[in-house]
Amino acid sequence: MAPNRASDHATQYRTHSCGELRAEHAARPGARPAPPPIADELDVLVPRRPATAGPTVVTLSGYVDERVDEFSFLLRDHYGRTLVKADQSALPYVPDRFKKAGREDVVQVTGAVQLRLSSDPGLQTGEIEVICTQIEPLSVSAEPPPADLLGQDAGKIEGNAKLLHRQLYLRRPEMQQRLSQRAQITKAAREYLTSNDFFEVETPHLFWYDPVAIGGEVVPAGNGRAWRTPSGPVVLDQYIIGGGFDRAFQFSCTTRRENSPGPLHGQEHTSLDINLAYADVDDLCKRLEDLVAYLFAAAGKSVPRPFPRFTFDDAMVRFGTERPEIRFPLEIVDLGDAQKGKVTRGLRALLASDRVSDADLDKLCKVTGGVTWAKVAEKEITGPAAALLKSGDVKKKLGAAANDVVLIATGSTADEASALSAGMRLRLGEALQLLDKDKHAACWVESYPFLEMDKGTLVARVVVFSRPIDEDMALVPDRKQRAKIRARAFDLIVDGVEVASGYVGNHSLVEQRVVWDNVLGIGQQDLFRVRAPIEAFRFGVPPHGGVNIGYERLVGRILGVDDIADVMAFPKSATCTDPMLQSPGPVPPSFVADLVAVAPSTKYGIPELSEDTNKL
Amino acid sequence: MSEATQNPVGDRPTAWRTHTCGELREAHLGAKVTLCGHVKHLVESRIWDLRDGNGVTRVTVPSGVVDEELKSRQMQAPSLETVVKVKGEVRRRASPDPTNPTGLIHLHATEVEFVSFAASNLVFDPSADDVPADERIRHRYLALRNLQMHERMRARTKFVQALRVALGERHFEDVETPLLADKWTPEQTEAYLAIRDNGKVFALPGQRSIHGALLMAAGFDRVFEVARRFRKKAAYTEWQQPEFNVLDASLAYAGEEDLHLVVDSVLTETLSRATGVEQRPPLELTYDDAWLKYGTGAPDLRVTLEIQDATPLAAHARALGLRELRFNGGAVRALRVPSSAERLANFALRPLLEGSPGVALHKLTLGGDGKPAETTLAVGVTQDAPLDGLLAAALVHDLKVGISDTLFVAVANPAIRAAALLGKVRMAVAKELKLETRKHALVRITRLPYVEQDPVTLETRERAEPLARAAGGDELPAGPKGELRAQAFHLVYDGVNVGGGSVRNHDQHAQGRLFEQLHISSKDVDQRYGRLQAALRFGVPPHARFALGIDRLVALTLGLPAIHEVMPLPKMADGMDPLTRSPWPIDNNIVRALLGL
Repeated sequence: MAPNRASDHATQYRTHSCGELRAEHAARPGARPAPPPIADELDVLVPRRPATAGPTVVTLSGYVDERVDEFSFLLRDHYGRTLVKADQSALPYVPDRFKKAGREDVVQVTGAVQLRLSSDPGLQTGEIEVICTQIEPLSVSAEPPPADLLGQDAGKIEGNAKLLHRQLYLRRPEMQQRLSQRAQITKAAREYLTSNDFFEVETPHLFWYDPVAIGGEVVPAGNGRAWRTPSGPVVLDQYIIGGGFDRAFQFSCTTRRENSPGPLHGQEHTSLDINLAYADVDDLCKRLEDLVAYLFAAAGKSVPRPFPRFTFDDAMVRFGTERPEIRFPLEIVDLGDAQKGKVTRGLRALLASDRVSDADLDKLCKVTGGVTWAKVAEKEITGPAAALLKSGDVKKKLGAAANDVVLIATGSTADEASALSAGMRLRLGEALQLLDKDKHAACWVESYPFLEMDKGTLVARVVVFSRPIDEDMALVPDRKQRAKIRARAFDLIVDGVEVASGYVGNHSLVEQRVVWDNVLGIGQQDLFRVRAPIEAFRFGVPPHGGVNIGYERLVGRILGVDDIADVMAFPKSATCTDPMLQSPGPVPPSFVADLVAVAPSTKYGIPELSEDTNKL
Repeated sequence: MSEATQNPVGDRPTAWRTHTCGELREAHLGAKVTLCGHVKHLVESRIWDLRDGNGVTRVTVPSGVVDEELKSRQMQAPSLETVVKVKGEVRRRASPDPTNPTGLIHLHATEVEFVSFAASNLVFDPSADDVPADERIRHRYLALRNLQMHERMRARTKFVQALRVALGERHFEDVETPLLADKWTPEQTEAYLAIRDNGKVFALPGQRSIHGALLMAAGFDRVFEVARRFRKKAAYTEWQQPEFNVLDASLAYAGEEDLHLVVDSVLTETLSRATGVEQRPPLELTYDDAWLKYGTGAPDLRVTLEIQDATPLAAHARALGLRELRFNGGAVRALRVPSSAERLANFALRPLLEGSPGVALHKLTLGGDGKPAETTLAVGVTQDAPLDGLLAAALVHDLKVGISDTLFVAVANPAIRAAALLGKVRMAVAKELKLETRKHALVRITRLPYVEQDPVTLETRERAEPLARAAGGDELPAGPKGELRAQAFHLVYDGVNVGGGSVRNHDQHAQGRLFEQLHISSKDVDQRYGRLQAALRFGVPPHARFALGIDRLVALTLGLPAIHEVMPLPKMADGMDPLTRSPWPIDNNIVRALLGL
């Protein structure tokens, strides 16, 4: 190919991007340009030789990145950085605008591509430099940008500073790269879904006003009425399922009022929803596993398949948590009544006694609390848990042998024991350096109980449209058994992070009503909250299920980024503000007047369900 | 192999089925399969058409199968739309249906399970084609079951995917921006507001979003998103909805040529791929020419009729008022419709004049002697008189009006009123005479003015966004703001506005001069663009932005007359959602508390 070929990135302002020039673009590989003649009275840089005869003459545009010295700087755009040098032959006349082009000024430079004397392997364009003969400022930074935002260490930047000058923080190469990779993954996801004949069926954001809903925003409509944005598309999805779509998906922006946002929760996030008709748990898991593996592959990563499946009960024992980190193999064993009146769980690390000191184990147990350790040697067992290990069949149950390390967690309830054992497992894994952060592992946790205990009351933990699992179907009519009933609901856990959850719904409205009444306690007076399926399902509905992927979490896992805000362009602060845009802002006066004009009512105006719906 | 043909596995088997209702063919004869679907149609009580999202298959249920279940429910047959699971054998149909891909076979049932019963009082049969649009919005979950709706959703999916592929090939990257983003400012007259606690509100994103520009200032090169936008109105036309989707794209280091090249190629490629018909690049027309030739800023070029400016001919008129027109901003415009005199003999002009004040409209045909004999008078507000005879003669001569032609003449001051009225006449005539010559016509209207005049109220309003770069670059010509043109365009597809774009100012000094020349006060600038300008103060590359209305494009490519036809869950023309009967009455005290009142 001719070195002068048009670049894909050529525009009116450039012939190439700052990331694509290579040695081949320099005309005479290996040869250094001949020393140019001494310049006379020139106050601008001019080309020394005709463009056609010598090396490729290119025009680049970008931000002035790091300045090397007065006569050279790195020029940066989205695709990379290129070293730009003033034409040495014009040295006494290098114009001020070259020398004074400041950090983050946008400039356009024209010049010949030349091989560097010593190439820089750290830079994709490190083999070459551009000998600038013309420089044109395009947009000058009005004030010096806050240096720390563009500097090296992102960890030191305070959270709100990242948001206040988001446009600068996003200029950091790692943010440019992450968002590009996210785009790549989205592209792959859509390719996968559309080539498998999924329809993109989107649901609205202006939705009914549900006074009890925890998520969503109140959006007044005037005349004393209001919309609410849904806190997730699952309710509206019921209309899509009722519409008979075989395979549907949507990317949907979801707002939720988070009291304690953290690295895995944002005030707003994207969810990828997938709905399948005539499907059961296996169909959904198979499809989702396929998609997730495809997305890892699209990003040049891999995740071992098949994803192991654990029931919720199983996961709580073997990993002490419903979100197992299975990138390292330690598994917890239930030791039954090894200690009277207590729940005891144990963990054996194979041949680990040389790799962790007694002092470290002491520290680990102290931090975790409620945990003791023992080391097994050929002849003896040492450590605080030695006595327990010697009693009964504890050692046998754990399969502990010489040179193993054993940890024992003791709790007064199963939940407490689970929590303790989960903590000790992760800490031991850390102490033994078992976790390879560059690897990934996914698993399923399924058959969640419908309810969980929250501050003394039973509350729903799964999607309220879930169908009970077959074994528990018979228990549904008995209200006393409701805490035991498990749902066809599952989570996808990647690297110990819940990235997706799914459910299989009820396709019989009669069964659905029984589950609502007996299990979830959603009575007649609350039916308006779940009216979507009532209306959509009364004329027959396919057996169906849906999956909701926390998209930033998934992207974060694929890219190995822990904080979802780092894979979003414009996240909000913990209090749901955008400091850059100064939003939210004050209420417009006319709007207040409109609201006040309507006589205040004291009751929720809940529209009646249609008659035949109530009859069902 | 033989086993495979005996019990083949279909395209998409699930726990409930081996095949879909759209895939069984002659090749499957003899196979034992399981299908699931809604009972779409009862041919007889024992012969059903079963429908899922993929197609329709005929099922025959012999006596002895499900007799007891039906009997216990005192039914002859399941109610329409009931979901059933049928196991059986694929057999050849006695009377094949060539219109259905599965029409050669039927499923001879051996087992039937009623999976989900439908209430018997079905609101309407979703398979019917004559259900009114309002009803189809009201009971959307039923209307969506019509396979035609599935085809539309498939077309929509395909369109958006084709668009994404075309953008991807040009290095555009999908960057999602938030729903709760900007604050409310007074020019956002159609904004929906989301109330946060402590009395503050977010404005849900409207047509002009700020994030694309921010991403340009953030150093991205080419970004896009297919995003949800909101618009609050008391009443919506068939091309509007409270929520709609737009493609919002931005490209850095780009000038007007780059922008046009990208938009033209992305759009033609998408339309070609999505419709399977080669789409030619858009025609190009300046805004001023569009008004001159077609009497509108959004011309439907499926119709080739063109309006002509006959103002100079008014010099021949007898009446002084007419002769002076050309010096005081008025105009005479004419539309010649060839070979139409007979068919337009009874063409009603009066309805066209409604809502078009201040224009005189004349219809002129020739008598047998070739002279303007039959000058039909139409009502104008300013000139309630026949067309000036001398002017008529000049028009006939200069515009070469033939013996069977019809000439419409509009006289008004200012000129835009004459143009707008003839624009209406042009479309009405085209409809009457069925003059559409092409299936689709795409045109890019360039050189938009920053402000334009409304032909009815004569008030000026913003057209191109004041952030757009002026046509001449950073050097602004002196002159009234109405004459200033921008490096901005909009796209018109079959007479409907489907998008637009502009090159943006990257030089803040040039932007400041432009605001001044447009007489936008510094207070307004601050209020509207203060946040953006603050963000751009650390430098921004030269860039351009464009947007496309996804719903409109999809509806138009499918030849549908309204965007709700291609939306899964649309709202009614008054903005209400009949499915959930939203918006709901809300306790005023809650809103007051949220607002901190």
